[in-house]
Amino acid sequence: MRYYWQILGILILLWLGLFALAKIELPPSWSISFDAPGLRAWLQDEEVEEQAVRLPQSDSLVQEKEQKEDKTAAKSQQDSSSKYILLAGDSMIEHFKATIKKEARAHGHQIISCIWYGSHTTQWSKKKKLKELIKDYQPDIIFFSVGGNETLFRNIEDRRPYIRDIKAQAKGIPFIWIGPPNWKEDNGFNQILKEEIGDSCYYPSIELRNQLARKSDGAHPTRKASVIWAKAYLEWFAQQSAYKNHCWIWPSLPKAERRSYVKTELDSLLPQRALGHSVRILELNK
Amino acid sequence: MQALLDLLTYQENMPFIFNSGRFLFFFSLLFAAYGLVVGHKTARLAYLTAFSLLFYYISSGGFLLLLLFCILFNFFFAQLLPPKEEEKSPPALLSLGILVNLSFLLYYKYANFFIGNLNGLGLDYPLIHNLVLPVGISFFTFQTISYLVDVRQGKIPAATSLLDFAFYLSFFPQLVAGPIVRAIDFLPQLGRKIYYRPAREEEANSKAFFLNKALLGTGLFLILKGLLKKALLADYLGQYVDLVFSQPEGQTALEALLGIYAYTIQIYGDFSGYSDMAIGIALLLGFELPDNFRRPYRALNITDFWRRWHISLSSWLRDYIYIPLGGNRKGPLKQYLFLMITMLVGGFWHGASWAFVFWGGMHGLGLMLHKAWKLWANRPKGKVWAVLAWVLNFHFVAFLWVYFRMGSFEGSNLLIGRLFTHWQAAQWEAFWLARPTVVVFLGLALLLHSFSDKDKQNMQNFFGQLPWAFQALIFLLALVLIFQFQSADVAPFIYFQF
Repeated sequence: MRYYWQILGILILLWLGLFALAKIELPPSWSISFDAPGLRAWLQDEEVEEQAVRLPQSDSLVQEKEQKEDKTAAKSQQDSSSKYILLAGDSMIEHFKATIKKEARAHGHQIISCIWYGSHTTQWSKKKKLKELIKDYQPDIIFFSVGGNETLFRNIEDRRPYIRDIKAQAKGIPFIWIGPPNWKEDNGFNQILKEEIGDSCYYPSIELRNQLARKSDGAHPTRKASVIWAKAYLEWFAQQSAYKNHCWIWPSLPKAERRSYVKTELDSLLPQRALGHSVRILELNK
Repeated sequence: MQALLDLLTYQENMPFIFNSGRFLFFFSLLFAAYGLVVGHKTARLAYLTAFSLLFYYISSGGFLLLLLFCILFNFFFAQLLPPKEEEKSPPALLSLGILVNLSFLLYYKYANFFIGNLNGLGLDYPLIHNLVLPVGISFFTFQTISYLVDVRQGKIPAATSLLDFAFYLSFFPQLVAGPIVRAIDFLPQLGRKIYYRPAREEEANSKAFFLNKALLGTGLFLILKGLLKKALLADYLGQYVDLVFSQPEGQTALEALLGIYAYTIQIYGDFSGYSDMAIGIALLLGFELPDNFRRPYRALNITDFWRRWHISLSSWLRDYIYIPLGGNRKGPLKQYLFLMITMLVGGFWHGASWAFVFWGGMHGLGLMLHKAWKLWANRPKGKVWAVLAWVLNFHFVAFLWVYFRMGSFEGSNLLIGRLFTHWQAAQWEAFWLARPTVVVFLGLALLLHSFSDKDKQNMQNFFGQLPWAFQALIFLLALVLIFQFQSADVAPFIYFQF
């Protein structure tokens, strides 16, 4: 029975090793996603407006321009009506965030955006990124959009616990999950999102599937399409979401019009706090 | 406790595969007490049969009842089939037995295909919804058919023990994705004693099975090799393949070409990796399964490819379809026809779609052309010719895999069409910069495939000679690599769907 014990010994060592591995946090997965920054550079129909954050290769977050701003100063800019928004997601939001930023800034909000290329719910659930972002920036509201990479998965029911965990990480902070802008038939991921997050906190981007032009990879919305997507989202956010009264971002206002609201202080359309934002922005710009 | 029980319970959408933690738990549990029963034949077979049935339950849930029915039906039916020489059982009886076995396969695998095609002709039958294919049904159906035919032809006697037959049909390493084991090869192994030590001098002529150091090394090495082929190589390349095949219209020529190569490697790594693990696991338990692959992409012609690819299936098709039809005994023209029929059946066995039939038909055509070429042309020799033949054969096989993977003509033609319309010199560098690991994995796969049998034997011997703690450490390192490269999605074995 000598070799029988040898096989058992190997099995025991293997289990011990696996338990030890479970205690170690391995580096982020080296799995493939459809994001391959640079691969399509020569085919890109549009130039990316801003350099987005790339997360997975290193453990440290690369901060965007506004993240680099002094955090304390940013916090001090907040008043009772100004909000601190965290926008996090996968590569689908690369251009989407530009519009969100523009609109949010126009109404006096501070926004931190974070793109984790190739990410899916597993990573956001298991890794500490979202928790760290929340802890570091203490946002008033979270816009979260992950799921593009999940459209390739077969066992989509497995995503459910990760989705629940991500939602739980928000710890009561207003949280909106912006569904992935599918470029192909949905595999059930959106239905799971809807069930887990709830109608009023889940935006079904999938409904725009046929309206969004795609980049040459056939998957990512182009910059122009992302504007349509972002505006549709903001409209939904302002009118139908659970936090429609939480912070005001939409509709977009031309600069001159914004200024006139401030000047005349006769804004019957806008909530008072939005007016306050505009005033504050003007003050900051001085 | 509940969590442990969950590991041994059927879970929909959670394939039970060799490279999963659940299987490691299952196998550890099995092996921990195997030593207590291995010395006694009945206890050993009963113990392994119970675990095999549990394995099938975890894999397929309620379809366990179907497997049990197949076991009982074929065991008792074979008792009604005396050998042909005795002229007691009419051929119709054998046909009935085959039909019963095929009926489940026809229903679960092909019903909706036939209904869909009838509807295409203007009829209006409703499709059967929620039709789930029982895992491994194509494999164990072929095993039961070959068993009944062999009994009828007097090649083997009908099994006299229900336990022996149940063990043969349900033995878990080969149950769900082959190799397709013939009763004639497997049943004789059941009665022999199994020892986990080298044979002593006086036991040199013993019929017992001695799992010595060399065989242990072979078994462990096959499992390690299979694990790396399946979970690292095939699953990693599979992630890229999923991208390419899910969006053929978005691919450049280079991406499409590398996607096709990647799938060519993926399907080989996936299936031969599974076979390696199955053979290795069976060996650790004291049973020998037949080889299923012999470096198929080294073949220089399509006939040679089918001697190296999925050997247990191709030999089954040869022995139970091609030869009974007439084989090469009725002249070249009929031989070509028989080849085509055999390959069409082979294609259809893989899946219920016209794309699979096309795939089988094209391989049949390839075989016909090669046979004709051999008959009418002088075969040129030399290294240049060999390289040309390899390139031609490899690409013939690789391009036909596109139809196999895509399952539709439209998508397949679209992807192949990209090869001729979207070339740009800048793609090479950009692809290398963006996806270097895909290129490295493809190169590595071709390199490993080029190793000779001797090289492989040397590696196997080296691994077998290592202290067992080192062997465990190598397994652990392999697992770390697999964890790092795997996608969050579970990638079931491709051949599970067949």
